[in-house]
Amino acid sequence: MRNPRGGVALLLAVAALLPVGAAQAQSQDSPLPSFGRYKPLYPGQYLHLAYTQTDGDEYFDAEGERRDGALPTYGPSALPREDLRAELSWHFPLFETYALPFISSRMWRARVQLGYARTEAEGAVADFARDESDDEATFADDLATEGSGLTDLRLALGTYLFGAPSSGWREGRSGPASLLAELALTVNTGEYERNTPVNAGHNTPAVHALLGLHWSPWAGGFIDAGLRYGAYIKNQDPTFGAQAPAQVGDTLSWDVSLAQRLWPGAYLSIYGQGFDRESNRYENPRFAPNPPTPPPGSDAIPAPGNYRDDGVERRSIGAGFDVFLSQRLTLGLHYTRPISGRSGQFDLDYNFRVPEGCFTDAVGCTLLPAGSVPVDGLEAGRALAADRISLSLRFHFLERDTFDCVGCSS
Amino acid sequence: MISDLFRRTRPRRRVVPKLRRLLRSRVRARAWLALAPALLLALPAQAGIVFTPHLSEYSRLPRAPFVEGTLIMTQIEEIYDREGNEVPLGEPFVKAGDSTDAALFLFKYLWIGNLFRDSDVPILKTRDQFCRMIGVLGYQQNTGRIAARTRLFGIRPGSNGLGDLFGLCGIYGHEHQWGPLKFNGLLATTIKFPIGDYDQDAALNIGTNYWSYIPQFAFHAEAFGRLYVDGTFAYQFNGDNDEPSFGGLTPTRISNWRNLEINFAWKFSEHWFADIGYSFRESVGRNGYDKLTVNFEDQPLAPESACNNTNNNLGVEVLTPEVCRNPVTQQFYLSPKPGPYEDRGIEGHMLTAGIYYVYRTSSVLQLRVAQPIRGRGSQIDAEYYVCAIEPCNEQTSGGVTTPTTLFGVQEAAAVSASPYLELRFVHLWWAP
Repeated sequence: MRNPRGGVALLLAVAALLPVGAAQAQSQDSPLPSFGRYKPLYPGQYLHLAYTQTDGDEYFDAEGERRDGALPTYGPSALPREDLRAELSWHFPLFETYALPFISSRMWRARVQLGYARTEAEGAVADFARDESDDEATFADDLATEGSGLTDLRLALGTYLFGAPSSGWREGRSGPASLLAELALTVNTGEYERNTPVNAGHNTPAVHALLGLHWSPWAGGFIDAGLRYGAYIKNQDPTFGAQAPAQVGDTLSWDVSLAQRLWPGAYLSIYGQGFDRESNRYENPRFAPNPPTPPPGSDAIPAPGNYRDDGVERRSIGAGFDVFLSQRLTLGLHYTRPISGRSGQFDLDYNFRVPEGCFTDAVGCTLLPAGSVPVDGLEAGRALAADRISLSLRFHFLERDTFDCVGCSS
Repeated sequence: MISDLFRRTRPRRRVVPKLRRLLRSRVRARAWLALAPALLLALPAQAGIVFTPHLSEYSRLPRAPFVEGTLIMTQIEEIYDREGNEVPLGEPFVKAGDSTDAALFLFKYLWIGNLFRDSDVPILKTRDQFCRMIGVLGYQQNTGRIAARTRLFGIRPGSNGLGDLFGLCGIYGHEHQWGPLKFNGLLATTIKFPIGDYDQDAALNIGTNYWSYIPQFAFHAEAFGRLYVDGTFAYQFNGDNDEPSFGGLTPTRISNWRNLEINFAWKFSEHWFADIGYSFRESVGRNGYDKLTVNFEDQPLAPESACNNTNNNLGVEVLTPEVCRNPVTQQFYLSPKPGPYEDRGIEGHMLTAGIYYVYRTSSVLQLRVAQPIRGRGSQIDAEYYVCAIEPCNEQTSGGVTTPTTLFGVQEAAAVSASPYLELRFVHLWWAP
């Protein structure tokens, strides 16, 4: 028969579980703030499924104003997105019998995350993509609107710097406070159509470092706070005519939540989260929706080069309710409301090419400065302001040592 | 001012008769036009790395389900041409230094058991069976100038997503022991289901778009409890691909392959192993290319297109700047003869080396480096019509053509000469 302490530990462990990836491409660095997400869990394997939906019909502009739509330079648009994300995770001691400094004395956590996203641009940006009238004259050809598919793969490995010694893991012992340090790798295997304004994947590998604090200051109360840093490899093929960043800026994101048990098995939480992304770099954008009007006999072409926005940021608040359907199964509902932010925008220089369609290196082909036009940063350059709602299901299975040892003495 | 420029701009139609006169001379036409279409890049993709053997890959494992995750990363900067030379990717048309970056994540599920142990079915009742499914997630992307170059042909420079699905079943042989040597064999057949993401307009694809059937014999041997040898011979029957990608630079008729691989591992302790291996694959016959369509998206072309694809970045002046920038020869059109073409087949030799750590008898962590040592990639000699008007074909070209040598792409045609790194984690999900 299970001892009561073990049962509580298991209950908390199932409740805590793991941060699941965010709802939108732009906020992938922010986890779904499930309560107890940084708590060291009872050993075993965990599956976390989360469905998140957003209409993507509001955004924060480059000056920080909340506005309707998604891409102002295209006109009224929306970037709705639905995410179904699965995360498999393990909590385990590592090399516990080796007495290796730092490694053997603490608990570890590993995660594998994969999902499916359904996303399709709507409104004016979709009309622009479908418009074939300018395909001959510009690079805005073969555009598409749907970027649904598998999302990027994320692998993570972390350990608890304090609060989760490996010596008591079989009994589920951990202190009231713990600090998790984790490194994660995003492998960009997600669907990436290259010609759509939205995509399930990101086409850029990334590394992330996380510090996650968990504290249970009173019975039934949980405080979790996370700080993560993300660095991105260059995207060699930024989407939609390179209106998405080729080099996503380093991103610092944070999340903090307070949860309280209302009655046995039911928890209410409030949370805040946000991210600050340094200036994104856009490389050789190939078209814009609003080019300057060329004089007769000429055409307007973007000036190749590197362009930068002023960074992207967003702050959100939300509330969640988690209830244990059984000892191993938890259902959660979260509502997130972005409250402030700023999207990326840059001024794309244009040239008039005279005569129209000439080869720029050829004799008689002249480029004349034509001023610049504003361009909305796509993907990591956007801070959408639409609400998000998430439904999550968490399941604890294989309650035992992750690493079986047939014939081992310990 | 601007309008003055417009007035000074010479109408294009005046150029055409002069170009026609120029094209009447095949010799002169070939002298500079031949350089224009020969700009296509060699873009290899995932090689035959799904089956590369590892420590005890073919040993009689306990009846249990096993899962495995393998992450493979490579940056392909060199490939083999049909003469076996290592060629920087993109050269001579772009300067060396860019690459094809690729990452593959393989998820493998292996079941071992005996469905017939309580039956009277001969052979099977005393021999364990196994089945394995291999799912692939992938990322392949051309970088820098190579990516920019593919766009000239209206081609997407990379792809991401789900790969083909591999399913195999087989049967273990009995284990035999002669003194310090014990060994077993196995027979298996793999089917590659072409369900992976595939886009005809992509230079690189995660899926292959053709079926493969791969019967295989393999063996495992252990000597003195220290030396572990795993080897296999597989013959891969490949189906046709009627929808080639990258403008027909992936073969439509894929030759069959012979695969031969062997791996030697040394046990240092219960936990630590190291291995070296050799892998060989060779096409049986030639790949066929029947639907060549790759061409410049924006035409007509100017001579400077040819110059940009030759003189620049090469350090060798193939055409004089005067010819390149001569406004008299303002435009011409190119169109490929669709085929059929054939390459000389492909071949690849590779060495592997790695270390293993076995943790608590249920997990294996492995790091491996694979280095190609010799190979031969696919190239074809294609013909392009050269015309002064559209549509460009045999009639409008007046028989003027220009030859060009093109690299075949993707796993059936391209052979990487660059190393790859493999990180592998094997986990026994449930103890037997």
